[in-house]
Amino acid sequence: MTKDITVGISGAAGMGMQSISFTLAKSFLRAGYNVFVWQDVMSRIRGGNNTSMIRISTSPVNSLKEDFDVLVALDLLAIKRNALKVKAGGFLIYDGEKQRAEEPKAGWISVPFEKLAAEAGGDKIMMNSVATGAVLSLLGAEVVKECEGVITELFSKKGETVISGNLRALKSGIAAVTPGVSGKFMLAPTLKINSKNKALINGSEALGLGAVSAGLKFYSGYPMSPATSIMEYVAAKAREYGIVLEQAEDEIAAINMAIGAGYGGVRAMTCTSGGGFALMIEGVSLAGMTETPVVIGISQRPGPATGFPTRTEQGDLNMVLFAGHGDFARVVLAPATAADGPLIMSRAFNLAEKYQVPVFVLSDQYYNDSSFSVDLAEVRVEPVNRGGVLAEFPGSYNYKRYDLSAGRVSPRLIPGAKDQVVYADSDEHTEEGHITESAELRVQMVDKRAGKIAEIVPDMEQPFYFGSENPETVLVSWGSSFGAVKEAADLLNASGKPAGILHFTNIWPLPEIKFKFNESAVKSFICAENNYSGQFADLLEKNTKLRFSGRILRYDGHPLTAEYIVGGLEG
Amino acid sequence: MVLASAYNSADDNAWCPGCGNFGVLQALKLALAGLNLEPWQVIMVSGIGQAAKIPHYLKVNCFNGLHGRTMPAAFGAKMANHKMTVIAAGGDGDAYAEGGNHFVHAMRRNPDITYLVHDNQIYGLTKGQASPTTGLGTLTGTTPFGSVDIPESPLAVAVAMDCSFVARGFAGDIEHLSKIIAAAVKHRGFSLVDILQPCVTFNKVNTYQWYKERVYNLDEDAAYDPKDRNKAFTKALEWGDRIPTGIIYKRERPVFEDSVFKPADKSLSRQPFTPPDSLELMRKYA
Repeated sequence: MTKDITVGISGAAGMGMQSISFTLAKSFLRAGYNVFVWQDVMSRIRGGNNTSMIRISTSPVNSLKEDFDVLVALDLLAIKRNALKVKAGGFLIYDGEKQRAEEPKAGWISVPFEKLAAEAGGDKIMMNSVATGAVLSLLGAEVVKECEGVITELFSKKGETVISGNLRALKSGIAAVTPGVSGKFMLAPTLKINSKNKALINGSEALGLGAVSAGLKFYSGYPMSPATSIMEYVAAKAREYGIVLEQAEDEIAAINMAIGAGYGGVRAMTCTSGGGFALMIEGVSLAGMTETPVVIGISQRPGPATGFPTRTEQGDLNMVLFAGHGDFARVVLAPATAADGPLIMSRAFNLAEKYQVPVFVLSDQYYNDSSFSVDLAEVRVEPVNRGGVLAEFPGSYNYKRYDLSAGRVSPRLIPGAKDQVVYADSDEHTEEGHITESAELRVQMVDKRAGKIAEIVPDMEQPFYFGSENPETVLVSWGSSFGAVKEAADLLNASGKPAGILHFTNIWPLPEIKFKFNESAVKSFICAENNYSGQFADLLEKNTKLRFSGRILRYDGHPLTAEYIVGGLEG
Repeated sequence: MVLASAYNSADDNAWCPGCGNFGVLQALKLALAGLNLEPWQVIMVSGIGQAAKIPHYLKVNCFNGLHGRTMPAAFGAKMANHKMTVIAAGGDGDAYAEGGNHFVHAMRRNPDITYLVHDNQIYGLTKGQASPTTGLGTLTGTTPFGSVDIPESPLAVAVAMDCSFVARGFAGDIEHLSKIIAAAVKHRGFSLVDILQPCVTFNKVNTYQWYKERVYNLDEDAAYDPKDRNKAFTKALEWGDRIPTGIIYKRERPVFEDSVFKPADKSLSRQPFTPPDSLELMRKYA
């Protein structure tokens, strides 16, 4: 019996790979399995070759494998690009009637998708349900009931004919796989949980949801993959929760709008990717100078310039750490999984208002576009802390926005308070917020803005540690790499090599790190990052006692996997 | 009743003696007092440049942001406080060069914001370089052989964008300018007031005298209908021996706020803070 299986659904953009992978993932999730789905797509609307990768496991899973146990190839190009990634003993499901360019090899199963779809419902598009059925037949008919439920929900708005056609197509897909082969990858039974306790949600949705539940009231953004889906989540919820959302003319406008709204007294956010963030940088230093809270989401993709636009990388950490002219405090957070999204977002908004600084939430295409199984019992948020923002202020026209007597964080009054005015200024300024030429004030104000970092440090959370108490190898990682690195540490421990993972979601300022393992046992600290140079490792070496004896780096546009990391350690 | 002096600020003024900005400042105080607005009910947003210092010389809420970024910051501040009066200010470089893209899209968006552009046809704070409205052939620090780029006509751009209120004022005629500003603030929608503002230090061509010989008050012409877009376009392009001041174009259309707020809604910044529960939102994905 199989405990962990990887299925690929591959075809041209627009053929419905994501709908097949969603149906399968949701069905197995409801049957009690852990699922994880990543989209490997090309930058085009139709054609090309895109692949949805679904991993189904009896244990928690937040990462991928390099190869497929089962590949569904919806067209010829899908076979050409991916057939070699099917493991020995695995299966390739294809339409032998339509995709006849090569001699079939061992493990190739022909399922006439289009023909069966036409027979089932008269519509070619139902081939997606035929393909879904063929996969189900290999993995375990136990899940058919859940799958029927998911299909019924999915097509509920399209009417009975479409539903029943797809259900027939599903059945014919199941029947199309010969009895000797069906059930070959039968998954080990798992405890069927109450499906209401688990959610299938992608990283963008988790971040958007986290922001909305943290009290987001203003969102401005310019579409850029892979951040656009956060904006679309917020847009869909804007009416219901009284959020103003505007598509800006460019990222410069987007961040200045959000800062204007932050000055105006509401929780505001903008999200983009590296290239868009490059345009926002002037605004970052405006937030730093005016001490205006703002949350900036950066969903990384491989650069430079337009880069490898639909793939993943953790290559913009340095840019985010150093963006903006002048010295001022900032906070950088990076969620590990979708379950982490609401917590990270609630912290981002709290820290932004508590310290009146820009806060960055750093994710990437792998995080944003992957669907995670989230155990709802694990979803946490930080209670709202608005940093003592004031609606009114006693006296008459005596409020000082940058009052130095109050310490580095001055009381923040919302404009519109009776008999008070609030001056915020991008020039060096007096306590009242007026332009100044005073060298003495300049020094005091720089100390105020940049010195906040020391006050933020105690608020930063420790990295997670999982693994052996006496690890010989400690893998160090950040953000979305968590799933892959954790799995790599598990593999090492299972093979008798004591290992652990030290994983950071609170990236900057760094907390004073306390090891929860026996440091003297460690032979090597190795960082694992989805970038060329090991940007986070550099940051740690500069600011902590950590020193790395090796760096496992990946920058081919694909996410880290446990196999890649273990291979890197051995190689 | 609010007096113009209620808007006096104690901040030191950094403008040159005789600067056209003083006329704009006085006209603005008169307009706000005339509208009976208290200083705390007004937010001014500005960019960078001599003109953009104007909020400091008034007692109002102020967000003095970045060069060119006045419109986006003003939009954000307005959305958080849509019940407040939001006025933006800056120079011709701020509005039409660095902020050109934002200016165009602000007109599309049509929030209820008034934009005062102090148009002196020169860069003052950087000490005398060509601006988007500098006349052809003008000698400046960066155009030592004369400006070769044709000047922009901001009013014509605004009419082309169907901006809901387009006007021109003259800093040398404070009374008329204050009336124009009051009408712009009262108008529900995005209002552009391009203000002819002599720069006494760096613009030796477009002086008080030069303007006085050319400007005329369009608002006194009963035959002129500012609702006629084609005539407004022609009027917007009129420049040379005669320069119209007053309301060039006016049009009622829904403001951005109408798409998000109901009439009874308080400003977002003053609404109760009651966000939805994350777990409830997450359950929709079960």
